[in-house]
Amino acid sequence: MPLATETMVLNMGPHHPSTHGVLRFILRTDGELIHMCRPDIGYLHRGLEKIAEQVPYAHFMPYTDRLDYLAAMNCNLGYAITIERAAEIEVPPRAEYIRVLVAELNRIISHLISVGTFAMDMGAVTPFTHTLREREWVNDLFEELCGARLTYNYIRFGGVAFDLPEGFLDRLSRFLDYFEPRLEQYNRFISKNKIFKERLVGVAVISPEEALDYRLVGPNLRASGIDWDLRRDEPYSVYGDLAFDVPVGVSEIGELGDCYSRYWIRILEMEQSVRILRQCMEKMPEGPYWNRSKKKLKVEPGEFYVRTEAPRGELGFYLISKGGIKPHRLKIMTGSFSAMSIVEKVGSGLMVADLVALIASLDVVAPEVDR
Amino acid sequence: MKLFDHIKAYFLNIYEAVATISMGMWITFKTAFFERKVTLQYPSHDIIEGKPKDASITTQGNLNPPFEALLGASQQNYKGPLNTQLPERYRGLLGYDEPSCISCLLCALNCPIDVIRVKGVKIEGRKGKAPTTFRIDYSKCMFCGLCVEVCPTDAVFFTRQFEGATFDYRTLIREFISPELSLERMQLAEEAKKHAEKEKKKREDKETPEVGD
Ligand code: SF4
Ligand code: SF4
Repeated sequence: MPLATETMVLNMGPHHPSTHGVLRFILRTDGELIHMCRPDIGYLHRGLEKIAEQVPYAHFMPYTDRLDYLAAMNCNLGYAITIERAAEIEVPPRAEYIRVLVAELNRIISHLISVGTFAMDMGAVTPFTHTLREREWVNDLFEELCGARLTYNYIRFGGVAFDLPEGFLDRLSRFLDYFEPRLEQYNRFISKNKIFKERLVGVAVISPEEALDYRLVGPNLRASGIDWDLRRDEPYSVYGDLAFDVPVGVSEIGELGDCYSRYWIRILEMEQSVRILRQCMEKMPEGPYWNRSKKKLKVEPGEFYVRTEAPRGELGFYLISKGGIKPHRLKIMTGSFSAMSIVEKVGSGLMVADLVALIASLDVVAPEVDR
Repeated sequence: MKLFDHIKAYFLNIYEAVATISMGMWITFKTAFFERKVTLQYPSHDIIEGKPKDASITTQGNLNPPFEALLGASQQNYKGPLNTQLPERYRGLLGYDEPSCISCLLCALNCPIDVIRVKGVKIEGRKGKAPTTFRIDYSKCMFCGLCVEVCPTDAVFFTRQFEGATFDYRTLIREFISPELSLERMQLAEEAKKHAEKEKKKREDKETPEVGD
C-alpha cells in the first residue's frame, strides 16, 4: 500500500537571501517538488506613480532613480526621453552621447550584479566579490561624474546635469582595458564551470511562445531566442549611429531558454556594451551638454508612450497630460514585473532549489516589480 | 562499444569537473594572495588613516563623530579606501553659507520633499532678503542636488561629509540661524517697517493740509 502524502504550504520570503529584495513566494510542495508557486508582491510598493502626479515634472527625476536602483541611469534616461518627446525639447549631440555612455556603463554594472548574485544563489560566493569589485570601479567613475554612487539623478530634460570631468574618458578607457580581460576571466572562473553548468542547463525552460505570451522583455526574451532589442529595432538617442550586435540565445550550450542561456546572454551583452562605450568615446562631440530652459516646464495635453531598453528589458513610461506642470497620470511598465508573472507558470514542477535558479536567472529586482 | 562510450563519458565528466574547478580555484587563489586588497573595515577602521578607530570613540556607542562637528570639519582630508580623494562633485551633507543667502526661496521650492525651510525679511544694507529661518531636515534629504542646482548665489552647497549616522533623528534637523540672530533681524525689520510707516505718515500729513487749502 502506498504511503499517503500531503502537500505542504511553504513560504519563501519575504526575507530570503535569494529573493533579491523583499519578495514572497507561496509554494505548495510535495517533498522537494513544487506543485504550485505563487509570487506575492507589493512589499516594496512606494507609490511612485502616485508621487509623479503630485510633483512637477522635474522633481520626479530623483524618484526614477529609486525605480530600479541597480540601473538608475537607464530609468533617468527613459523618463527624460518621455518628457522631452512630450514637451518637444531639443537635446544637444554631446549630451546624447554622454547619455548613451552612462546608460551602457550602468548596464554593465547592473549585469555584473545579476551575474554575481546568480552565482551566489547557486552556491558560489566568490564570483560575487569579483563582480562587485569591478562595479565599485564604475561607481567611482559615476561618483566623479555626478557625485553619487547609486542614485545618480544625472540626466535632465534637454541634456545632462554635468559635463564630463577632466580626464574622465581616459579613466573610462583604463577601466575598459581592465574590464575586458576580466570578463574573459569570469568565463574561466564560473561560466565554464562544470558544476555550474550541470546545475543550470535545461532547468526552467521558457519556450519562445511562452516568452511572448507572458511579455518577457530584454535579456530574458532574447535568451528564449526572440531577436528583439529596442536599441536596434526602435533606436532612441544616438543608438542608430552605433554599431553593435544583439546577442540572442542559441541552443548551442544546453537548451534554448533555460537558466544557463539567460545567464550567458548577460555576459555577451556586457561585451557589446563595452563595444558601444568605445564607440561613444571615439565619437564624443564637443559642444554644450545641457539645453537648459529657464521657463517652467509645461506639457501640452496629450498621451505619450516611450519605451527604452533598460538592463531588465523594456522600460516604458505612459504619460497622460492634461496640460500644466504635473502629469495627470504616469504609468510605468517594467521588465521585472512581467518576469514575475511567468514564475507561476514555469515554477510549478520544479524543485525548490531550482526555483531559486529561475528567480535569479530572470534577474528580478523587487523595487522595480512593486514600484 | 557502447559500454566503452559510457566509461569514457564518465571519466570525461570527472576530468571536466576537476579541470574547470581547479581553473576557478586558481583564480581565487591568485586574487586572494597576489592582488591588492580593495576592502576596508568601515566604520571600525578610520577611513582616513586606514587603521582601527580609537577604542574610546567606539565604546561611546556612536561610531561617528558628533553631528555638530561634522559640518565644521575639514572637507579636504578624506582619503578613500582606494587612496583617492572624494571627487569635487561629491554629494555629501548639505552645507549653508549664511552671508550669501538672499532668501529667494528657490531651494525650498525646488526640493521635491520640503527638506528646506526658509524665511527672510528685508533689512537695510543687505542684498535681497536676510534669512531669519533656514532649516534643513537631513533625515528627509535624498541628496538629489536639485536645490544646489538652482541656488543663484551658491549659498546652499554639498559638503564632502557623509558620516551623519545618529541614534536620534532629531539631531538631524538643523537650524542654521540662531534664535537670537533671527529675533534681532525680525526686530530690525520691524523697526524699519515702523520707520517707513512714520515717514509715510509724515509725508501724508504734509500733503493733507495742502489738499485742504
Ligand atoms: S536658493 Fe540659495 S539664496 Fe535662495 S534661499 Fe536658498 S540658499 Fe538662499
Ligand atoms: S538635495 Fe534634494 S532632497 Fe535634499 S534638500 Fe536638496 S532638493 Fe531637497
